[in-house]
Amino acid sequence: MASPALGAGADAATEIVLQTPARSLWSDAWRQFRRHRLALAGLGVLVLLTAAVVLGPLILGTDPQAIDFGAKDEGPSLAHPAGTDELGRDQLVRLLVGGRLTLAVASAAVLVSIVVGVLVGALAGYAGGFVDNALMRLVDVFYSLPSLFIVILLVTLLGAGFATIVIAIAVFSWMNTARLVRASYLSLKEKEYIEAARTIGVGDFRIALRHILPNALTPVIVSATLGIATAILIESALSFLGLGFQPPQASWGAMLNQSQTAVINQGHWWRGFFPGAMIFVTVLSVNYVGDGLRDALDPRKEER
Amino acid sequence: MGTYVIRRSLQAIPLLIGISIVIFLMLQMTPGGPLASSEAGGGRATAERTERLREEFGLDDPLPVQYVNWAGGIVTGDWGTSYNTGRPVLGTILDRLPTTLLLTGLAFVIALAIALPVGILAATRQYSVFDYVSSGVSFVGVAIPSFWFGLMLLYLFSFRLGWLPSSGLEDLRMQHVGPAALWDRASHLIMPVAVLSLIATAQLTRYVRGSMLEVLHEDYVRTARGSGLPERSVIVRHAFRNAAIPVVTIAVLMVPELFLGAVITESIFAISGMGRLFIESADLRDYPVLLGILTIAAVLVVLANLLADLLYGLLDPRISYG
Amino acid sequence: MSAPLLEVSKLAVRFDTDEGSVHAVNDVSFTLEQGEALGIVGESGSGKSVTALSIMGLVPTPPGHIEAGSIRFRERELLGAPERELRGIRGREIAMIYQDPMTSLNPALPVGRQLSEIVRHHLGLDRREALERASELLALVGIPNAGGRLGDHPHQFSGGQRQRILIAMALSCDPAVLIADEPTTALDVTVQAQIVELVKELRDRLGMAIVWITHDLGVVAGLVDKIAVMYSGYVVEQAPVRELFAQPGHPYTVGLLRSLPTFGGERRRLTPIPGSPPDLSRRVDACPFAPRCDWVIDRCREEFPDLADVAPDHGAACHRRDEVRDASALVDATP
Repeated sequence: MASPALGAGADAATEIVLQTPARSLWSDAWRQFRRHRLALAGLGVLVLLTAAVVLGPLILGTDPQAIDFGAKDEGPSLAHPAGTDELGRDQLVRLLVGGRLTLAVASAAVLVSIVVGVLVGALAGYAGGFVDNALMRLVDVFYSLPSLFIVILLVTLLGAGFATIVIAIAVFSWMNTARLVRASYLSLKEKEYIEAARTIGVGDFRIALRHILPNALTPVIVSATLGIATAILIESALSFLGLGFQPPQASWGAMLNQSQTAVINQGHWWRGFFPGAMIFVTVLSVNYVGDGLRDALDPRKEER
Repeated sequence: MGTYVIRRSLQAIPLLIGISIVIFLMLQMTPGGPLASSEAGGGRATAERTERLREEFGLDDPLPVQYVNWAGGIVTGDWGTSYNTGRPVLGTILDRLPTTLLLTGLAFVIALAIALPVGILAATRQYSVFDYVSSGVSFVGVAIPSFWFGLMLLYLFSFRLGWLPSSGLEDLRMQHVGPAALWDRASHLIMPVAVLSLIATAQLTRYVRGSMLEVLHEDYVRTARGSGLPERSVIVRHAFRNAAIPVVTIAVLMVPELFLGAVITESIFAISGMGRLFIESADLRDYPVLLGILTIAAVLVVLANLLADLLYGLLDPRISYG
Repeated sequence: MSAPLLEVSKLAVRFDTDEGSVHAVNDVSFTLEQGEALGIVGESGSGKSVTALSIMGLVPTPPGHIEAGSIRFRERELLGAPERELRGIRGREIAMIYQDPMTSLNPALPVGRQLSEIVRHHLGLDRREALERASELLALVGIPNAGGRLGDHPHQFSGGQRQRILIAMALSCDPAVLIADEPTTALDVTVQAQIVELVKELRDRLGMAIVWITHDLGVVAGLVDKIAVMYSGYVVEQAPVRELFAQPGHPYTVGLLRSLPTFGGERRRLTPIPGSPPDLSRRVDACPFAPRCDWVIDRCREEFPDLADVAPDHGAACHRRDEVRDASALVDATP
């Protein structure tokens, strides 16, 4: 009682299945990212911002330190789009130069925290057992530390230099990365293709490097992006409290700090508005990009 | 459930010990050790006086001994004396603590009062204008630096409009009774509390909305609807009852963050709370006070975590009736 | 002859997704008389669950849209009726049980609460009465120590027990219609049989009409009076149960029957239906089953087959319905 030849039905079905083209993970992720218009806009803003901060002062040609009592305390105008301060210094160029500091600190801090986080997480995940436990207890302790206070403390005690600030921020940002990396290691360690690689004879270290790490990096990338936003806010807060960069170095937060009397008592709103706005726009853009990245790189959403 | 409570509480103790060790060690990290600045920067201290101070505060003892002495003191209530004022540390801190607690408490209440209704409404009316607007606003809200917000508020309401005072907690010329005094207090608190609660409100709103959305798609909500129950019942008794569980834990964990964030608020509005005390003491290298404040902050964080865990266990029947 | 208890006519439901529109239900019609049991059979994606949800008014209307058709219960039109009216019917006159008992109960509330709130809302009972009723219901569905377990939470029950509780909730207000959407799919085989038995018993006792949705023809054979077979959102065959099993008139039904294991009789290979379910986002003017059909001819790819009678009360949507039916009569496909 065999059924008639399968022929026509089966062929048509296989045809449909084969029509979807294969795509690599990265181009797929980029496609997903592109659909997120806000993330794209955020990326654009960040690119513009970086360009402005790096090239702007050169193009403008104004000296951020140039004192000009004739033009002091002026509001925004064509000559000084962001106004001037009590020394007559052009605020726009100070903003751009200050931006260099803020962005540099944030990037450096995130970089350091990722390196530390990856090392700790990879070690914990791969070694397992006592080492893993000890390191995770350490992570717990760091999570429970009152971060802002200790950052303030470190900067006060060790002096407010670029390196100190970077380290102070990084000290409280590495834990998340460590946990993510460890989690990836733990889940991927047992996967079949690792077993397969092992049976062929690939050494443990190479396995860690070439097979596990790339997969572990995806959540880390998202975390790092959002980490930049946090780093900017912490550095700005620090500088605002007068504990971060000292004059003549002026990050956006420091500019805000120096503008307090001018804004509150003299009504020179532009002194406070622009630096804060820069922080806000940067952080917002980074958040949008991070959001877009999270959607794009989340493997569970690939079927959408 | 009982064992769960005991187990989690016991776990907190080694954590506290670990934290106290880290804190203690960090303070030893200054180049030259404690009292270094009073020697170096042309301070009033002579080498002699410093030596005497060192003896008095036991700074020449080996570190572990110092640690045990200090930790033991904390537990028994002797928090040491301030290098700066000579007054007991505990007393100094307790002077300032209520202010910070007031700010933190008010900010927390405001954050909840706004985030809960807005988040729930946004989730139940997903894709509506209200949802888009509130989600957009809360996303933007977490990116606003609180000090910038404070500064702009001060410009607008203090300088420009003159409606609200720019600093402190009360007008010292005022009498302390009567409705005028009440408004005086309130007007001094409005902006600081608004600034402190800004980010917490934005974050909490997003969490509430997210949690509700997840729950609203669960099968049991469909079952409740399918049984013909009124929508309000479905949303409150079925959806929110479950969505609240992670939200409560997040909310509890926000309290220590608010407490720390008060540093900035106190700085802008010149309020004498613990945050300001911390910065002043850091500047003066007043170690006993610093250690004291850090201890309180750390205890707060650990307690909040513990409370969050316990609440979670309490609210989730799978754990409490396990 | 009085109007049927439940009448679904030409129901069409569409879902709008990021990747385009999915036509989940197309032109589905069937009736249900008082006390009658209907089985709706089809594979995943055939539109059977969406049909059930439409009757209850539970289709989420942002992505879903009821494009056309009518659903009449006791001659009242349900589609487009105000939500208040529908809420009065849901759980009270038409009740539903769902596929996954593990997630269909509120984990945070005791089961007694979940049962009693339904009767309190629909029947106006006070707390004491409602709890008593809840206790009765639990006993009715076979939960031992019913009274004592009212305070327990869902996670303290097994999968089979949770499904019983859901049945209890559905029957709490003595509904006229019970819709069961694959209630046994997520349970193992022995528990499956128990649940089917339970529903049979309750039906005998309480006399409600049943719509039982499943992908497994074997499960409904002993339970229902008539069967509607769905494919790709269409009803492709409808017949009284005996007739369907003895003389199916649609190649898909034939395939379904062939893929059932049989006990006794000669041993034969299980023959699966080749190919995979159709993509519901494309609507074509042809028979949806054509790509997988053994009986396909040119006409099938050009003309859509209607659900026309091939025997009294027996409709099949196939151009070659008579041939198929005649041929299938020679094949021993009864379970």
